[in-house]
Amino acid sequence: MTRRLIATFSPFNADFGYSRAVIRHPFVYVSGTKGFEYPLLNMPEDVGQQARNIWETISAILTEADSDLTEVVKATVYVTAEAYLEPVLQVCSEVLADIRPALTIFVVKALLREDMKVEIDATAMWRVSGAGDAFI
Amino acid sequence: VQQRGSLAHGEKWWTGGCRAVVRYPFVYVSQATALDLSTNAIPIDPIEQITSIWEILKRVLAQADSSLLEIVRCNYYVTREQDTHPILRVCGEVLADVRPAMTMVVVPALSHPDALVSIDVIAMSNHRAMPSFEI
Repeated sequence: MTRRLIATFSPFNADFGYSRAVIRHPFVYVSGTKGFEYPLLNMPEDVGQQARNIWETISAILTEADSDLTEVVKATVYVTAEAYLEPVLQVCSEVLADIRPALTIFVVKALLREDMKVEIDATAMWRVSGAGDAFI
Repeated sequence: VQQRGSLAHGEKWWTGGCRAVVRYPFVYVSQATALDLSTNAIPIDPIEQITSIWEILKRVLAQADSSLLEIVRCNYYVTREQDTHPILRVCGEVLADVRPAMTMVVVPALSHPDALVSIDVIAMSNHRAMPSFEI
């Protein structure tokens, strides 16, 4: 079996042994994505802006992976405080209005860095159907 | 016809879940802690815990006709913020050639009071038709 990896461009790099996304027919698995503003890797203080950045990043990753935001079937949202639920879900409801994936939401104790208030991972369908395991 | 097979974990698996479910082309492995189900022992050191979890996962994946190399997604749950980077560095060594999609979060507690880290994974399995059996 073969598979294709989308390399990570975050500061948490190869040391941690992961990819930004993994494509295995018929799915694309996207790693937990943070709210960085590319290309300067600023982390906005506003949690809603972090969520918006995350969805933009996920969208870019999926496009690079021959998928698309509209192909998301499942997303998991982690926030570090209950107070962040409303602004984050507000952004999610705008971004996902026409997509409506299965969604799981957690309030967790912390994420990898103190300034990260929200993290989202997603699973999407891969559009290049039929290519399957032949695709590298 | 694709079958669904479960890798149960003997009588001690009391949660209603099982160690792993194989459904071609995937194997879904339950959240694993370093708890040794035969002795009820769990190492105190987080690095020992993560190392032992990877041993468990290697064994489970092998029994599911899969391997570490077939992992596509890894979810890490840790209970102490100071453990995140040391644990991820161990995972980075184990997964250097695998590079799955990964999420790590810090949670207040896990299924065992002494568990500092747990992992669940999704991997590809070659097992096309697997009847239920226990490991």
